[in-house]
Amino acid sequence: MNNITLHLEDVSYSYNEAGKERQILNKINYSFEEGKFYSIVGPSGSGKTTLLSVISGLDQPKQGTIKYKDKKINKIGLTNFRSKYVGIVFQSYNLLSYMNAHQNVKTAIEICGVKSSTTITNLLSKVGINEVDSKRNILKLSGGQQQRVAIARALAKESNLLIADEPTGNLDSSTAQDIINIFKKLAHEENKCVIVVTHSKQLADESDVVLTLNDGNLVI
Amino acid sequence: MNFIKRALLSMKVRYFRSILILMTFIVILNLILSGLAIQHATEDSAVSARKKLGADVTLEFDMQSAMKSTSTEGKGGFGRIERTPLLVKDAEKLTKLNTVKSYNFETSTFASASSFTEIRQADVESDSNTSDANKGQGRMMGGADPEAIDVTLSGVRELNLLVDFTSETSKLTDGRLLTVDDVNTNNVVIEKNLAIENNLEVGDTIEIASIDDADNKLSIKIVGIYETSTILDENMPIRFGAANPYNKIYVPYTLTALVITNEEETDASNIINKAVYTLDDPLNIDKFKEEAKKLDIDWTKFKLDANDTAFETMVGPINQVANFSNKTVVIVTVAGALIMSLLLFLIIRERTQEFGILLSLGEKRYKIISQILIELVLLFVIALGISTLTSQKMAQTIGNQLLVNEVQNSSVEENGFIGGMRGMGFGGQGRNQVNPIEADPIDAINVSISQEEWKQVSGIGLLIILISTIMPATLIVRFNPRKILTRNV
Repeated sequence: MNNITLHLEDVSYSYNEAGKERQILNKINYSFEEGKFYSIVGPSGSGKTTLLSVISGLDQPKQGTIKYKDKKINKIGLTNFRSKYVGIVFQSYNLLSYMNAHQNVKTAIEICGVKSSTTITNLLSKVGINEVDSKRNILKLSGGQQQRVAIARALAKESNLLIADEPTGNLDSSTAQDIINIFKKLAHEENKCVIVVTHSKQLADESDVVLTLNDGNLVI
Repeated sequence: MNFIKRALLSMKVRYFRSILILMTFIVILNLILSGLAIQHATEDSAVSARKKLGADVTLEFDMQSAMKSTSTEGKGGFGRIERTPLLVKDAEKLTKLNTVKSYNFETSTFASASSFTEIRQADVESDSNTSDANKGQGRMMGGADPEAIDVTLSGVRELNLLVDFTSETSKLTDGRLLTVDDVNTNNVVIEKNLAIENNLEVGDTIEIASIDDADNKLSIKIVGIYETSTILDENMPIRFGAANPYNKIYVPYTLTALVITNEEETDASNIINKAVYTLDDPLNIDKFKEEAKKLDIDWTKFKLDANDTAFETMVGPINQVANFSNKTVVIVTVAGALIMSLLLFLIIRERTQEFGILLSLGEKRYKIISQILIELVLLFVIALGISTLTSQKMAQTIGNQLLVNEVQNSSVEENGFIGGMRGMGFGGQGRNQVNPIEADPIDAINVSISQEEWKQVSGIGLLIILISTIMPATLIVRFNPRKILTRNV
């Protein structure tokens, strides 16, 4: 059991809509292990992004416990958890527009406060961003390049957990495949726990475990 | 990249937005600083005017108030004004006040030359019209024969404090001036021409007589001789010896009572025309007046005058400018604060996504707010520096223009005042009023930005920035990153 990176225990999430309580996640119990590439699929509105937000510390579950390597993330502190223990990749990249690729990655490293063992240039190079592109303003890069920068930024923290929300949603199939390959490599070669929420069959097919979210329940 | 570097980078990359904020700050700061600088300059000018007019305050019978009360009593026309005598004991009450540095008592009367000859104008005697006028004046003097009004006795406590001598209109040429030690003595100081005409010297004794009773004579001893630059006004319709400045004799204020035999003023030894108090600082005039009003003196009948009319004439236009700048400062500060607040609110709203990204990366909330504050404070400091340089020129131009307009507007009143002042000029005592020519309205101000204004504006500006940044930014970053990034805030 010591290879469990993230453990969900009776995790529930609901919100009030027009006076009615709408249940999104219903007592989910699941353990994500390191070295595996997970994809979470499900119909629109099934709560995939909510689940991702909860497990990445962007939001809090209404009930239940989430543990990162046997430590409750509430105890770690959500801000601390986000800064040190989880790398998040968004569908819309969410890069800081007034910076270049290099500066975006550097910002994540400085917020994390942990000295990276690898250089920013190496990190960017690992996801396919060369030195020239790394100095260009982020808005001058293509969507695929921006997503690569977002992955490099997530990797900068050297955490074991990488969570991505529709990372190939805005990319062409060739670029999407490149991104998928990066995730696979991170899981299989660097022993990271990669969890991806996706609608993409291509991505789901290449993952080690496909989880389906339906009626608030997570099933294999 | 830490939040300080992020702030600098954001300012640099978003240079257009930075310039826009900078320009807004500069415009607002220029207006506020100019307003404050003009306000300050007008205050300084008022202080200078007060200093220029000196630190003398005069206690005397309030003629205007008496005229007013006479007319409101419904007697019709000009009723007889009862002149309440100013008692020495009342005047001495004010000398105890802390702000009084020195004081003088002044009184005046006329006398006949008994053992000497007064200096007369050659063309006066045979003029019948003048003679009639003199008779009229004689009636005003209680029925005395105008031919007997030879000399003016100007009673003082200390002669060196009299404006005639402080302004050097009159200068001692021999002997000494009268001091407080001469009170209750018959020592006098006479004019040089009168002395030459009568072969008089310091140490000589002469005789004067009451204008009502030639037998009421008094021996006076000359202790000093002065020379006056005052000349007789040739256009003056009433002429008698006492009107000639050469025939003015300075005496201790206690001596004038000795030559008055008018029944109404038999107790004149304790009465003076006025008391002049010289304060330690002209700026203490208001304090002195305030403290004096608490003393047991009938303030419905007496007044304290610190050249107030002249002061009002001098500072009238500048007060108008001050009023305008005061209002401007308030309006610009309020409007500027609103504009800055709205601008900063919009800027912060625009950066909601950035806040969400930084929060999702695990950045602390206070560092996100600090980054925004650093950006705005830096721009504010630059704007303040530029405004300090530009606002002085702007304030000087605006201030001068406003003042010129106000001086032009007040010119009619000013001329009236000066005419009135000039009409008062016959060579008698009481010239402690400012020379009317000196009482011109102030028509230039020296505007400069002081440290005080700079600090004031910096404080207000920084406070506005702090409030306008922290409040909206806190409202955004209190949400979780998911909510911010999905733009649900």
